[in-house]
Amino acid sequence: MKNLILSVFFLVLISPALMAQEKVSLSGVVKDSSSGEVLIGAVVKLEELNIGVTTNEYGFFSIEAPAGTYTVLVYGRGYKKMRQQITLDKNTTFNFEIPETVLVTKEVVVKGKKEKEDANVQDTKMSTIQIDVKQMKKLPVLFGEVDIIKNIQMMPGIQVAGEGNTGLYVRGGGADQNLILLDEAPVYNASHVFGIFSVFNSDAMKSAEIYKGGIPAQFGGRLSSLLDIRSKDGNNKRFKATGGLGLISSRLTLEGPIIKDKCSYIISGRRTYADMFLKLSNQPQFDGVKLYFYDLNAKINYNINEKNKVFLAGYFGKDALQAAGFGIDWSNATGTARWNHIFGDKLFSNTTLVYSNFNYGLGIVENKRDQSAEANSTAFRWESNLKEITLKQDFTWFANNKNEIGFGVLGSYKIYNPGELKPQGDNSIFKAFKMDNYYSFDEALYLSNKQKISTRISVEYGLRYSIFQNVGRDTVFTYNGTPDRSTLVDTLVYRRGQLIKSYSGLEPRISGRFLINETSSIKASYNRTYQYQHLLSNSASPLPTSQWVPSTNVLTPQKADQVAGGYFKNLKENTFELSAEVYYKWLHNVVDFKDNADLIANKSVETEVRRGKGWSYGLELFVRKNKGKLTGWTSYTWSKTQFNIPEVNEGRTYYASYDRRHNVSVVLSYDINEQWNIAGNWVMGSGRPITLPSQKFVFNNHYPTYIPERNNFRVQAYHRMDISATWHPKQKVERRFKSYWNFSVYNVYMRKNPFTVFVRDKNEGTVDDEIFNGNKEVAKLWLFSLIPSVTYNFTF
Amino acid sequence: MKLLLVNDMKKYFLLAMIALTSGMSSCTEVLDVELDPEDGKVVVEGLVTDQLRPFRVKLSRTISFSQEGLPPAIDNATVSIADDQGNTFPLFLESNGVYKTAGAEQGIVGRNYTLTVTVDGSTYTATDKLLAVPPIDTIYSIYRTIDATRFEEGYYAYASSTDPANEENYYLYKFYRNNTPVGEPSDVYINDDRFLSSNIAAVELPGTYVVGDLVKMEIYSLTRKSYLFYFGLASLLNNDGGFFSTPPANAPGNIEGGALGLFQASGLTSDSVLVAP
Repeated sequence: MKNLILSVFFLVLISPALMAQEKVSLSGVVKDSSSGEVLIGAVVKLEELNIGVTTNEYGFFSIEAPAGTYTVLVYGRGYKKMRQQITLDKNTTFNFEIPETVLVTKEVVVKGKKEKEDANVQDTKMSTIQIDVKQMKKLPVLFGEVDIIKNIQMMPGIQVAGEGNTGLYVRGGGADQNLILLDEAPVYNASHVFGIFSVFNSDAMKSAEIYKGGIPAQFGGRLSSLLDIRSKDGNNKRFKATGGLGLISSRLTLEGPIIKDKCSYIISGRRTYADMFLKLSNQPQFDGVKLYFYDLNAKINYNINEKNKVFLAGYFGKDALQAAGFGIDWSNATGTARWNHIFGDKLFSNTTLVYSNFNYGLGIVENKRDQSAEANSTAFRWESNLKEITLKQDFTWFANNKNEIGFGVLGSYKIYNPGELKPQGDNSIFKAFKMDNYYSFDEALYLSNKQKISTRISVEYGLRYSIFQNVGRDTVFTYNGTPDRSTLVDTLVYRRGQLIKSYSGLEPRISGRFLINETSSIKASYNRTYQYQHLLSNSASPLPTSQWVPSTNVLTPQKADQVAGGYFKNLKENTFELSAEVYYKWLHNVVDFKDNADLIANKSVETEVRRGKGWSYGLELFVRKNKGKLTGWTSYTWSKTQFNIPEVNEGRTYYASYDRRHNVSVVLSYDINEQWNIAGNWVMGSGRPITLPSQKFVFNNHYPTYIPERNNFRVQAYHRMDISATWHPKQKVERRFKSYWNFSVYNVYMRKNPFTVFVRDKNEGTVDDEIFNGNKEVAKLWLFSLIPSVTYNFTF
Repeated sequence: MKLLLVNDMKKYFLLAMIALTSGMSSCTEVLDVELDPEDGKVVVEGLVTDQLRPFRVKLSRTISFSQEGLPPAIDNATVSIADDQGNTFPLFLESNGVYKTAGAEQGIVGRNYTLTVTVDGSTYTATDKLLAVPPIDTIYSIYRTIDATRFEEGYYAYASSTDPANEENYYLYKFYRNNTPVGEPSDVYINDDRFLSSNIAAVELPGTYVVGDLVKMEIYSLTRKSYLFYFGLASLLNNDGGFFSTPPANAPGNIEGGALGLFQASGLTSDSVLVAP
């Protein structure tokens, strides 16, 4: 391992040495001139030499050239080109501030789109999609909530489990195989209201990018994707308020300078108000009814000087539902503290401390109006949580114009509390019960290089070495064979901090680009990923009660290998981006569950888990139009995902529950004039497999069915069309207060898309009722017919 | 409690959805599905209790999912039950696939009982252990009005029992209103005592009652194997297609030889109360 890292290092070091020549560097940051937000992926080019670099995720760039005077061209998508004469006689730092091209002053301006216009063709990375946060706000929405995750679901290679579900199934991977990072802090349950909405308040978000493959070596821990979401830094030029009123929630974002040009803040909140109406009602049934979620994002960004920059970011969001005495609530909290430092002109350092905490609780609450034993005998509360604290040190070394080297280390400590039962009141029939915590350490180190081999060939390669330790205190069961009560051989007690089991793995990542000509390229990639955390979820919906557990002596890590290749083409001066990608993915040691698995409060939950292999392959076609009055994209995906897991489906291969052969998305947005924009989308997914019985029988007074095999039936295809119109009323340019309206209609042609398909008795009633005859039928439940919504947005 | 979690979560999800959509949509519709018919499988429903009454076994066959009517009974089987002390109890066809011992018998706590069924040359066997069941201390009814936890006013029944501490016990509950089972055919009431304190007092029974109703409750002790069958049965009967619930799966019975169902040996206790004003 050590040798491998050293040899990679040498390779990198040698290449610049060979072309040793007296060179100086120009480095700095590119920013938006109106808000001071740094621009990701902006291009800085020395025109005389025709060499250019792009800014990294902190807006930083570094370019090398022989001493001399140059015309520096700086540009980004949606920004004016700026030229500046700069004399380089020594290593120089220069910050560029560039203005936007189009007058979008009347609108909430959020930068995030990859500013480099030809990135589709030129970039080494593939299988990656940037979400245009600005364009997203013009598209139709459900209940008036703009949702990054819903946008991602319309991209090729991303499957959706069902209507209104924010789970992401990336290239055949499970919903637990996505690393969702908000300002680099992992979000463990990104859903509100059981997955109808995601936790990301679009007003506070700057950029979102999903990696379906070719995940950089810097990131690890999940098999299938990386969703990298970054929040806005806050305007450091002037105070700004942005907000909106929607059908179910309201939003307000405040941002501004604390010290002009140096220090800014942003605070953004969103809350639903359905429960407030319920409170107005005085009926006893609505006593103690809770039904809300909220999000709060806050960030302070401080540019201490040219070389140092720090920020503190935090997120807190919560859901609470309570009715008829039963309540469930869950919350995510994340925190990020980061220090960017530039050593010299070429070494960019990033020190990050992140914290994440996911909690859920449920139970039957005590009856406030009635203190009797009868009204309170079943009162209890169940609580569970997961905490993570991670320290990362990342370096980017802009070695020269041909090599950009990344390296770093990470250490992480996680505490999993699978659950604790707390009887409520003196009359509860329950007893206090606590499951043992799990404790784990993760460490990783990585080294990578983005290398321009020639004008045509560019490669990005890296190696990540991940280490995992499951430690005490814990009581550990060992099994002889398939974990089960009958194969239990030993029970071992480990002390606090004592090593129970350790795993490690090498994760090579490589992607390469061959430029056919200025407007087309082919790319290929391979990556291996390990996952040391498993989500014990046995349902399609992202329930908060699904438990994260670390790898243990029994639950070995999951592993995936993916190869992908593609053809990329831009047309009409980057107006159109086209891509075609194919991939094949092998999943090893994937988690599924034996029939009738009991995952709730099970102290030996490993006896319910079964491990096996899965594979997925597919073709993804994508066309996106970026410029002009008409913008949008069309994508088509053909894919297949199967699993083979001993003791699941009697060892026979079966389709994943999110396997859909065909997926189509058409998303269009048209600017009619300065005031009006109309947009629409159509999505289609062929039927997903479900499990239906073949026979039925009688047992006592029950009428059960017999299931011949898992996922033996395909439900009808999912398709839906949504439309929207965005109206910017005529407003004086000099007026600070600007507003716009979004009118959306979800599911225009009222397709009754199945949310669930299930078996039920044909005639309701008891066994002894005349009408009950034991006959059964298959029924579907659909959630949303036609849903209109309106949102009012403002900024000043 | 476990089933309560899954079902209530589903209920409150729907409640949340209805609140969101203000009852705008969210509905169900029957789907027309073509399912392959298959040959009928033998279904066993056997019960031995510690109460003095005939041992009873019911045999039937599965029918195709879409077939109307009730499944056919098996009337040509040879059925017997033996205990681990060398006693054998032959069972005789009564009618409609129901087989009973000639007279009343009484299972004994701690013994293993083995069922042997022969149908058309195939033999099916199952063994279960009869475990003790704690008594029901009291059962009573109270009139209650609408409040935050109930949407219907009327008489509600309550019961108290005990559960031996530091033991792993599993129970099946059955409830009757005037000797008719209460609730839907999909209701299965089971519990394991992992979460229970030893004093189980003032637990509300399902259903609402009127004056003059006879409320009856039965508790059956279960072995872990039998409990897992009922757990699977409850999951299957209340399955929503795998969205909130687990993927639909067969209830894991204890019959060897390829038959479905369960042969259950149970301690049985029951109590009842007449609802009075």
